[in-house]
Amino acid sequence: MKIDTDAFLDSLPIMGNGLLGIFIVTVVIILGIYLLRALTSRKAEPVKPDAAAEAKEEPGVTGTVKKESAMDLMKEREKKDFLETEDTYNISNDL
Amino acid sequence: MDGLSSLFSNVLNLDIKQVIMWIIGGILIFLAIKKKMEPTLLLPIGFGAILVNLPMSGAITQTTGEVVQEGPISILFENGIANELFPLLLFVGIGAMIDFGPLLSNPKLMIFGAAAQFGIFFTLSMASLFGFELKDAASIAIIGAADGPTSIFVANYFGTKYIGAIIVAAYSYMALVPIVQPPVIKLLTTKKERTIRMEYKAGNVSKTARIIFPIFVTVLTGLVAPNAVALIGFLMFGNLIRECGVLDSLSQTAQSVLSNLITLFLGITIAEKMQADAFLDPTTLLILGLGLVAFIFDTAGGVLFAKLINLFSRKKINPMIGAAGISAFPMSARVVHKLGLEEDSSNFLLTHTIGINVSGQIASVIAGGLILNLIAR
Repeated sequence: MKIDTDAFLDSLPIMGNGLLGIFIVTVVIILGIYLLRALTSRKAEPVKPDAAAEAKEEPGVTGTVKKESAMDLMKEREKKDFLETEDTYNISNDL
Repeated sequence: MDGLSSLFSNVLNLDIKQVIMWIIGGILIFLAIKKKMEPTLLLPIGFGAILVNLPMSGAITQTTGEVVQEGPISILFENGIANELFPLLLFVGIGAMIDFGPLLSNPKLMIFGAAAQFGIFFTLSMASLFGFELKDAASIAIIGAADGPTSIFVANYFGTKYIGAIIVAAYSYMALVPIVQPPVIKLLTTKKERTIRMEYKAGNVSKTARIIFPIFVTVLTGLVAPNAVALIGFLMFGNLIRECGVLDSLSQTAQSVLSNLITLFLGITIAEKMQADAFLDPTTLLILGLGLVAFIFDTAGGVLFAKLINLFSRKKINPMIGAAGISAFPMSARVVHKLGLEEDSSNFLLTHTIGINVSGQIASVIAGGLILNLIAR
């Protein structure tokens, strides 16, 4: 094993280009997803007065979009045995 | 008496290096069964390591003089890994298993998937510093993708002789995510940061968006990194089967039967590159060390990027979620979530970390593709 500072210096532009590349592609994907969502989402139906009143009573609900609490989602996930099953301990079961 | 001695003559061919490989194989089997570390891969790899290191093993191709006797493991390697077929087929299964819903609900979190690939590129430079050729350094760095098939694909693409050590390191560290990540996260964050709560807003994701997404990512990645289009394409093909809604039977087959079948042969086939002469080298230890560096700096990259965003953002992000950007799914998401619960038992980060974790899957493949593009074979 030898320390090769020249090779290290030569690799720095690759590191820079790689990191830059991955951020650019990711940003384009993010923008693409927003565009996709905007193009494919249905327009919100007008809120019926009763439904609006109901929504006001429910905490975490705004307008027509229900804002689920993390706790609700957590419970949902736990129902699917996501967190504690033996199977999910092994990554490759999911890979 | 002569017959008896000829019966055991092969024992004389036994080499101490082969015995050491048996021990390594035994340790891998022990870790798989007793510690339940990646058993679907470490167990076949462990058994394979013993199998190929028997003296004159018929499981691998042996050349005696001018006579070449082909072994099944070598044949499987040539036809399943050397041509990159197994990792690609496995990616169809992985794609069919992944629900990109959390990512599509909150796309901006995907940026952490990119940040958490820092370890790959950092390790590339470190491996170069330690004197590895650039293509070997790239193959070692991809351990940081925390993604077995990508590691196999890239290492094989560059034809590195270290492929055995690289794959063992990749899968071992994936299993060690709960041990590797927490200390790094704690070192880089304050208690106050770890207790930051984040609002979760469930977005509406239409079925059309779910169907178009895999096609969009395939086209985009194909344009940017054409060498990676097979990787991302097979991953997204699996996901398209899942999301299209008309191929449930194929989706189920890809998720279970196909994945299991490929995994079954993948592990034992990898062992072809665990023959004592090639594997027992001080370089192997260095590769294992560099693999650890890659995982540590992946984690650090994600956390530090979240902290950087916090400097400019009014809505603070819990920086721990950045660590979920590595591809080890769902292990990394769960590790960060549990760390959050340790600090504050009512702070549920899982909904955020899952989205980031699946974005890490995509980002790691893109990172692999960029490496293929940036470095000449």
